Amino acid sequence: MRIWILVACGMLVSPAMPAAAQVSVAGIRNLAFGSVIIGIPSTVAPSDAIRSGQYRFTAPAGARVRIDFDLPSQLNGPASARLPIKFGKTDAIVVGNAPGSVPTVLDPNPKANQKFDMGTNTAANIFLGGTVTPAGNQAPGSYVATIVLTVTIQ
Amino acid sequence: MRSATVLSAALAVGLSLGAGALQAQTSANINATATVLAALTVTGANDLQFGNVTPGVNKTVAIADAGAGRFDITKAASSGVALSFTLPANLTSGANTLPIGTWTGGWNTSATPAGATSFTPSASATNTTVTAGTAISVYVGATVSPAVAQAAGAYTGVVTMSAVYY
Repeated sequence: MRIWILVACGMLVSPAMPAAAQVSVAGIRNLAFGSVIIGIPSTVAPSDAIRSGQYRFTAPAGARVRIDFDLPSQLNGPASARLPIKFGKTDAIVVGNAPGSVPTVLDPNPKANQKFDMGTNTAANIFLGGTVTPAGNQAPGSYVATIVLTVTIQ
Repeated sequence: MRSATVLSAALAVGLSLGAGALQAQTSANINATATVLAALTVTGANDLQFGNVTPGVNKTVAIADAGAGRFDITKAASSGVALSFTLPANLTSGANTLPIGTWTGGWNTSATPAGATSFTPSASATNTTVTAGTAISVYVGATVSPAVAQAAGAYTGVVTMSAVYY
């Protein structure tokens, strides 16, 4: 009798395992500010077709997904120099792959608790913009930081 | 009775695990990148000097002449700059004026006018090509046209060059 119960328990757990494969995310393009000038802020709009950051995620049609960014507050440069970066409330756009999908503006900042209904979409692109603010004495050189996107099926 | 209790516990565990697994989650990274350019500086290095001029006789200083004006620019490597000028129409000496015009220009990545790339200085931007250099010398020449009755004296004017990254 006890052996039968253990088998039943295993059957209850196993059907849920494929759910982990229902969502995927890939980084497509870096958020690239290019050359910036000392003392002059530089902004990349999420609609910028070349310089905006881009992710692509897949999820089942009809699902609701939660979108969370882990955003840096500064880029790391030469000799421990830091370049401040900020993200506005309209610095992210998500667009589904279904015909006629309307772009949706998102706040990428933490705790914005952003949700996206897949509807008839099975994939979507997220575009990310931002603003860097070089100081008047900003050290010349290359700066970089990592931006993490986490997508969760609700 | 004991078997029923065990079965209930097993069902509870099974349902709990199943609900958790429905929240599939995954992450991906991209980078944010920027290149901070070195400060752009412009220095007036040489005045544009015509020396002595004769009434009624035009005098020209070419960019390769010793009297040519020169500005020096320091910039980031592999970056282009746009040059623009504020040019006087006359040199002045008190209330007297001496017409100046026919401006000529040339820029070079070495400190010599030989082989400079020619352009016509104006208020409109002149873009230099992107170069690997971090220094540009800009040479300026012009022609003054003293009248036959030009009043004697020392005449001066200000030539301003502006440079911005493009």
